[in-house]
Amino acid sequence: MEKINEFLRPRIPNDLLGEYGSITLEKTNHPPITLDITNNSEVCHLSAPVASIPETNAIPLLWSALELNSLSYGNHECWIARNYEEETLSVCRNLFIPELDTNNFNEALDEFFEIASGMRNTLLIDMDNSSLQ
Amino acid sequence: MQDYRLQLDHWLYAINPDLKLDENDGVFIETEHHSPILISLSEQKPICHLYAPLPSLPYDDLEALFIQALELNSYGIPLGGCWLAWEDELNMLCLRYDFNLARGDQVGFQNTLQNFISAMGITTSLFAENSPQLDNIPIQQTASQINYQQLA
Repeated sequence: MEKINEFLRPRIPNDLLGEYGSITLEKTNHPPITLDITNNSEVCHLSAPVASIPETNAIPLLWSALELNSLSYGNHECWIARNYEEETLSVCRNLFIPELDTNNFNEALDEFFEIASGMRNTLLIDMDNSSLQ
Repeated sequence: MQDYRLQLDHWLYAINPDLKLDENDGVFIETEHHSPILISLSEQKPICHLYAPLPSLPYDDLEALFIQALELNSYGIPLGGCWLAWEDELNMLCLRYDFNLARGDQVGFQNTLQNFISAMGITTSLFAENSPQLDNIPIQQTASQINYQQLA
């Protein structure tokens, strides 16, 4: 956890990982990214909400999300999952902490902001198209 | 840039001397109880994709299937870091994993492959647990009928 706090300092000097190893980062016009680290884990889990699951006619959105997970879209090492508590879909990625340094950690965060933003927009467009049909 | 094709070929040879990337940078690995696994080298990144169709899932209730698939993807925990995706060309769910060749070694690759095969079994049994009628649902395609060329 201390290592991730060190990596985060150039980005957010005063707001580091809390007691539970979780922090949310924000960037204008991008979905917020949550970082989660469980105690003693070597994995830093990134997630960002990309869509809310509608109560009715959810299939088009779920389908699009699973399509975005496919090989064809080339979103390396990222995938979309359902968030149990909030009925939302989030894009996720696991970073292996021992392989990281400050530079590649922050590059991975920036890349993840862009991937999350792209996925959110794609799902919005797909939902709009399906509601028009 | 390092020759990741050579590196991957070397690791494949260690698993089975007959395994070698083809001219499209892909190779199929047969499994005992599941579909063959497609391993393909990324053109853009030092990554090899592990990919396997899951033809024996309950495709009669797509909403339930999709929700369960996306739940299994949560945190990457139930499937050991693998995730489920829908492949339009095959019209079915597939299991995926991206192995980073720049960070991994031969042992890591073999362990990943073993974990991937385990995840295929876990996925099938988890869907079966929640689908008591699974035995009555016709399977869309058997592994041998899957046209992997469509994915190339």
